[in-house]
Amino acid sequence: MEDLMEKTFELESETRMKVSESISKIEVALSEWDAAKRKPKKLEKRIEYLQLSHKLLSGWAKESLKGKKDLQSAVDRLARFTEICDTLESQRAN
Amino acid sequence: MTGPELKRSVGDAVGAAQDVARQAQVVRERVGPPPVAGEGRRVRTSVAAAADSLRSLAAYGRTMNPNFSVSIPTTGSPTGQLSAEAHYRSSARGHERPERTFATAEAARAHSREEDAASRALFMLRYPEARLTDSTATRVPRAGELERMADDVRGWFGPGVLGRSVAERFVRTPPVVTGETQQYFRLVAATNGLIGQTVALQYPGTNHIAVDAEGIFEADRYPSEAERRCILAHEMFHYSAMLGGGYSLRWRGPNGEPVFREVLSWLHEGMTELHAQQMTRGRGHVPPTVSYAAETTVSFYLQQLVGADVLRNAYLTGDLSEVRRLVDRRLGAGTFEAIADAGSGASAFFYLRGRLGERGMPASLASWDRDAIVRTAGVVEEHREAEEERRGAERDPNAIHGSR
Repeated sequence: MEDLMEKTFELESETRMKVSESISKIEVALSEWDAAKRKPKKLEKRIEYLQLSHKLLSGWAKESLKGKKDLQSAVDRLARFTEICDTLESQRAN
Repeated sequence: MTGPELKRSVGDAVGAAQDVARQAQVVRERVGPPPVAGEGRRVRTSVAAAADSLRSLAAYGRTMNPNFSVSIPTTGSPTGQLSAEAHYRSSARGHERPERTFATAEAARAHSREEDAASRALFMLRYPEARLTDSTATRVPRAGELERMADDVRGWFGPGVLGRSVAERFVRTPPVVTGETQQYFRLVAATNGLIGQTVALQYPGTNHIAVDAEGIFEADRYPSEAERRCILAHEMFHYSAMLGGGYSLRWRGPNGEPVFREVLSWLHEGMTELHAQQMTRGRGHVPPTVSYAAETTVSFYLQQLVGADVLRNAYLTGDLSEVRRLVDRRLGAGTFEAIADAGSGASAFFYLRGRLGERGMPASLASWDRDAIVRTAGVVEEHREAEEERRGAERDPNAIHGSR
């Protein structure tokens, strides 16, 4: 059981790291966009997608850092993460 | 040129110059200031890097899906962040190919081992005291026989059944069937939320169909080859519907608005079984039982109401708009949504029969009830018996019913 808890927490920690990497890349893109004097219209949809991704992922990362550290909460957070991924996938398809 | 003429001409020229200046201002506002060198490239590169990163993150998230349940959206996205319209359009596209594709049975068996490990971990989360033995280590009896039968059933699926688009996807990534042990199957089925004696499943997002190769050859459970073939056809229809977008049942409401329902898996199962039964029987194999009896009977009634092509297209693409329109036209506005909202095949069956009676269609109903699949499902017979018992109770309220 302890082994399993450890593995779940490891998985969450690994996920948090990957999420943070993505958040950093999104922040770079959004700040480049904000600073740009000319904002190409065809990129607007992608920027909206990045803003949505940023909102969802940073919310999740905060919850993951500050949330309860028991096994069930960690499992719930990972389930929520897969849900966010599904949302981002379906939004990207548009 | 006279004085007034000159004055008018100068006035015109000034007006034209002012128009040009105003237009220049409009253009400047639209186009914006001149770009800083390299700015566009920087924006595009950083947006592409962020999008790539999100794609990898989503792929990583997908690897977790077998372990954690994901809710089906009722309106809009699972998190409510997407518009229902965006979700509708995205669902309508279906899947060009599964997220994970297995080219051979050997590769799919490796997937079974992954699933086994994931299910084991999840099972241990729920039941920490459980002791599980390795269920994939055991040799699966008659797995080869099952896989050969699957090859044959796979050949039944073509453009005539699936339509060109789904058939092309089906051929590009054909379903791969593996035979598993009963123990593996029970564990995976239990942790995937499947109840009862499930004997086969198609893993969502993949072309892998796993079958309980021990259970499917048990003579008292599945006495005929026709049943085994029908089970394989059923799972392959699930897979085809996944490719076409049929996993997400939806329709356009009266004002064109996208409508989703959370509990419609019963209808999906009913339509799957109906098509599998019709296909298997059409190939000369007559299964002695029908799974999802009430769900399949309701689907059969719907098929009679809207036509086989309309129902099959709706099943494969998930878009029930035309089914809704035709059902409402024949049985009155709101009928289709009432069926969809019934919550289960049995409730929908009672509602639909009642509605057909109210709309003066008992003759059609009687002829539909003579269909071999409806008779084998046996729900109509059970319904009649229950009705007779109810009438008997009304006639003689003091009679004792049931066992003594």
